[in-house]
Amino acid sequence: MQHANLMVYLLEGIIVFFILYKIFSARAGRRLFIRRIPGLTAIDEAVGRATEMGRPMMFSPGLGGITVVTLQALSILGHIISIAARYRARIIVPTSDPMLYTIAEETVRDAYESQGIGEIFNRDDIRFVSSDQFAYASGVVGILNREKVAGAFYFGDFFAESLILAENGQQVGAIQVAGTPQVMQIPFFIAACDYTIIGDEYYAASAYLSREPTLLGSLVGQDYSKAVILFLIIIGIVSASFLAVSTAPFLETIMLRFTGAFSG
Amino acid sequence: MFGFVYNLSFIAIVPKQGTSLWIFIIGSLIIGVLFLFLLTRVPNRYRKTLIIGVTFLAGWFYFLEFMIPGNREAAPIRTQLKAAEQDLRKVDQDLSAVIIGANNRSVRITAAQRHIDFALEDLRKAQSLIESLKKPTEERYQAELKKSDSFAEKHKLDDKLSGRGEDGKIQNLQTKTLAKTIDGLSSAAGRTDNAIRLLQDVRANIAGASDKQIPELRGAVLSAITQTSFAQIEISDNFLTPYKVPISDILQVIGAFTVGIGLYSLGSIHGKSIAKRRPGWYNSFAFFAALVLMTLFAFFKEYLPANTDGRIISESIYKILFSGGLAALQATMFSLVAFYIVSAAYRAFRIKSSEAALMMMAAFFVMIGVVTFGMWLTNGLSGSLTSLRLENIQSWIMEVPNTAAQRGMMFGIGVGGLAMALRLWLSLERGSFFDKQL
Repeated sequence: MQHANLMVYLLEGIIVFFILYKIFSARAGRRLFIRRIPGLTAIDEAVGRATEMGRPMMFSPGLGGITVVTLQALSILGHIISIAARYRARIIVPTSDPMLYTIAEETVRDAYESQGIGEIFNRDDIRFVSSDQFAYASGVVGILNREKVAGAFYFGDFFAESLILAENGQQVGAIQVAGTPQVMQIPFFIAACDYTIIGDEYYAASAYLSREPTLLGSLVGQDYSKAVILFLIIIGIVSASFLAVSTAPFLETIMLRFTGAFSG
Repeated sequence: MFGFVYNLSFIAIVPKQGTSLWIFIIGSLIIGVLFLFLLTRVPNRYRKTLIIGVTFLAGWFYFLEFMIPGNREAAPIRTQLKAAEQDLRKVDQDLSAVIIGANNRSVRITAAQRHIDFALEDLRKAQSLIESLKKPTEERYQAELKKSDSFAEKHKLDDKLSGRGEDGKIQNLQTKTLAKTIDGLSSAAGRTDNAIRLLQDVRANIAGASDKQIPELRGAVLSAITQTSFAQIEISDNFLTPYKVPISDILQVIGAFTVGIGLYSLGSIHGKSIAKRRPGWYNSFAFFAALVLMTLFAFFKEYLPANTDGRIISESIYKILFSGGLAALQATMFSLVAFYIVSAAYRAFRIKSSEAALMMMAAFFVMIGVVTFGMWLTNGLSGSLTSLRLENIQSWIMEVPNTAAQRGMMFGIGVGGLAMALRLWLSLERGSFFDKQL
């Protein structure tokens, strides 16, 4: 599908409505509940441990360029840096995209300055490593081993290098927390990391860490939208099942209209 | 006004050679640097407004490009193709019912035949509509080429600009847009033709097809659906679509400037490492050596005169550096994944809970189901027990629970991404790029 059709107008309209409605109602002061996500709670633990051990931490934003996924990773990075800055802990951020490198540097500097300790910001801790997948992996593995990091965070787009990074982090004894929307990489992170953020928890992370009303509202709006999608899936399943066993023309027409509406 | 816009489209054409090309390159660099410099001079209180404004406008462009339907001239073709697709989906449903063993086989086959006939009729109509639209578009393209040619001749652009493609035709925004439309129509015609041939084949064989042949015929129908669906996409450009590439190019231009910043970061870290003789400083030296050698020999192999000793030696050294060095190192890193999978699997499959036991069992069936030994073990199962063969259990695990779980995650991720994009677009996101005055 290159352009939206009627069903996309409707579905996107409903999703956008829920998200914006919940954002503005949260901003107006409505209290919203968010369940505990163990992987995100572990971030505090990792920062505390690194501080006690006097060793640095590492945050990898993955191989994505400037995309929604990476911007979310940077948002999480900002929160982690804020926690680390309280303990004056050091975080190394290796990046794979020069454009991302400049934004990451700005994010980290802002997070330190917001805690009033801008002077401990070290520019060399934010590094451009390489745009090449395995050169980047090799660079990050080098950092993990040389710096003996105590905590490693992987948030962003990861591909075949995910296991190389996570296994090396495991070997140096770092507490590792990972989150990626790349579904194929999640099993590798689950196998090699201490905590893994799965699926849409990735987009819930900044809301969970900051408890900002805007982000919490957006998260609740997303849940409402998922309920709508779930409802549509159920209708889709019923439609497809009816079509497979029934030849009633009127039923067939209604069901095909419904299933066809999403097809292009 | 239109004349001005028309003239503007030629600005996108790069000068051909000589001094004007150098002036163009250096001028572009100076303008780029100046623009970036001016951005850094924007007072703090206006920066947030500037970022919000640019993000909002860019977001609007992509939003409208997606939301506005494709060009009106091609709408009747899309309607016909859509109708054909709907008919083919009915055929797919009928054949699926036959495959799962619905008891009204002959009724389903007759219905499928009828729907194939409808689809063929729709596809043929679409084909003739494509042809009838292609002709005037080609005429418009030829007229535009003539107009561009006379414009180029009048302003002596051929001497100054590299605005012609390999076929000698002017490539400005207007001609490129029309050429793309014609390409889209030609491709859609090809796909429609493919779909017709596939369906004619299915139609000829469906009446006497055995149960074993039905899945094959269904596969052909699914291919026809794909062809029809792609054909619709190829003729659905709207008036904003041609500008998508030039606008994305802006991001690439900004990215090109940041490559310098990335190199500065690398140079600074490795330079300090050498200067302070930090442990492993020789690796930093290797970085500088590789950077200089790769750049020099890549340049020499392209720009030294052909068939000279220098060119031949440069090509050989570049090949050694690239294939013998970089590619080998990349392959080495990638091959490490195999070893890490073993150690990760060992940890993952230790049975510590009921979930881990379930995962171990699923992994066992998946692994043994794809090896010959596993297939041999249950080779004897036939008839109603066929579904218990290890390879069938393996494909069921992968195609049903695994795919369902992955799709569930994809829905959540999709909605999360949409919410994040919406917050960024409307500047509701709290991050260092929006939260405060930079």
